[in-house]
Amino acid sequence: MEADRATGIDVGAFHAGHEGVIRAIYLEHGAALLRETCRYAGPAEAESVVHDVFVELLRNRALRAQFVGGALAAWLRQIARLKALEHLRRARRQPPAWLGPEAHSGEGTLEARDVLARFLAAEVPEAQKKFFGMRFLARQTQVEIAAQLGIPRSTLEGWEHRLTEKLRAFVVEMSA
Amino acid sequence: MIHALHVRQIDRYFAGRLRPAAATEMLRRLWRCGACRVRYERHLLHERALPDGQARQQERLWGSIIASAATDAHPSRSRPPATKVEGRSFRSLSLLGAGALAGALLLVAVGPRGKTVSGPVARGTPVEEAGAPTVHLFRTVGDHQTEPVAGTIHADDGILIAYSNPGAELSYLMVFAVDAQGGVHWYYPAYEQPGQNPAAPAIRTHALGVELGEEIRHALPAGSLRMVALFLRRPLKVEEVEGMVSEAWRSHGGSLVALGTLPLPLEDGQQLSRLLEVTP
Repeated sequence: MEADRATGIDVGAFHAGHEGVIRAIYLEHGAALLRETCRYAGPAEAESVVHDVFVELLRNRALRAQFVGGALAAWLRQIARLKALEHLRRARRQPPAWLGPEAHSGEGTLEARDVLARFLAAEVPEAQKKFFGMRFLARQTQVEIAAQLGIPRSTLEGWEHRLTEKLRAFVVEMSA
Repeated sequence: MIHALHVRQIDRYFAGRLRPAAATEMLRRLWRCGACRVRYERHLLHERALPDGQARQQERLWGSIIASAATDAHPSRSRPPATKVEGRSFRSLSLLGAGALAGALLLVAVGPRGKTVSGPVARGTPVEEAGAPTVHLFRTVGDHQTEPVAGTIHADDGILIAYSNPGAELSYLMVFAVDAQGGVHWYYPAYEQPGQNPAAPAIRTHALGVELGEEIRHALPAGSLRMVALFLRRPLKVEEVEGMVSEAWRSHGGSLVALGTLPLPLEDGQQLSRLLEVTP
């Protein structure tokens, strides 16, 4: 089997429905498809579309056969767009009159940082605040933090697990 | 309320505890249910806020994709009376809190050795007061409503089940349907993959109106259908029960009406049965 020059994917393996090839496509294009689909609906519905697209790619040989090489991203976007419009039609929702630019992933990051800041101020125990800032805000690894703070990594793992669950309740059950 | 259970389904999905077929149904519902979208997006926000949030999201969605594709790729078995797992989907139910219990369909009680105990029980008849276990069947109507099954169901109806088990002796439950060709369709326990052979799940005793939690949808053939519930003292396995049904099916000449006596060789337990009509 030869790799397609434009995409680098093994078209033969893709047509055969090899899971590894489709997973590689998902890893490369999934996030962009989510952003693209957010132009038609919200982030929740976008996940529904991407889910449908890849389930169908895994199951539907005829759909896979339609791709003969070339602009894979554009082909996927077209499938996602059609699925989004079909969902909107079934739900009797109007498609947006004007399609805005593709959602920028930075917006979600800003929203998450805002939640983390509020959570830090309101819910994180004093002794764990420094760890929380380094791990959740600065995104340092546990190994780095353990070395800097002189705290066993197993302790940090326990803190992180409990903080994650507490954060879930803070975000999901209370106000986002 | 059904809605509250839809929300809990979203919570279970993000906790990795929702079955694939239910996940597909839940994701589709996001297009129609604003409150579900809000809940889902809060989970997404929580996920994004985690140190490994992006990887988590990617893996969660991929895991859901793979599971859904695998579930749908093995849709059926046709060996009568083997289980048919055709396009199952699951949906949470909330039936009894809304006062629907009074309208539940009560299955006809049949004795453990196949003796018919009574005729059809009127809807709302307080069988629980006599200490007899009961199963309540509902079908979904639209996205968030249910109604008691009243003798006829559509082929693609989602079925929701609750039970009342006022005694202390019977602590396991199985619910299935036998179609006019002798095919068995499992509702409880879930039987999604051939070869799993799950056992009867444990149920609560001294309990009334316990919801089983998820809607189950089979692609049922049109025609007669016998719904059967087994309240048991020990956890039989699905294939064990299918063998009993197969034997009963043969001995009754392949008649669903005759199968009403259900002489399953169960040593102890309570059998409940009701003949329904499935319309296309």
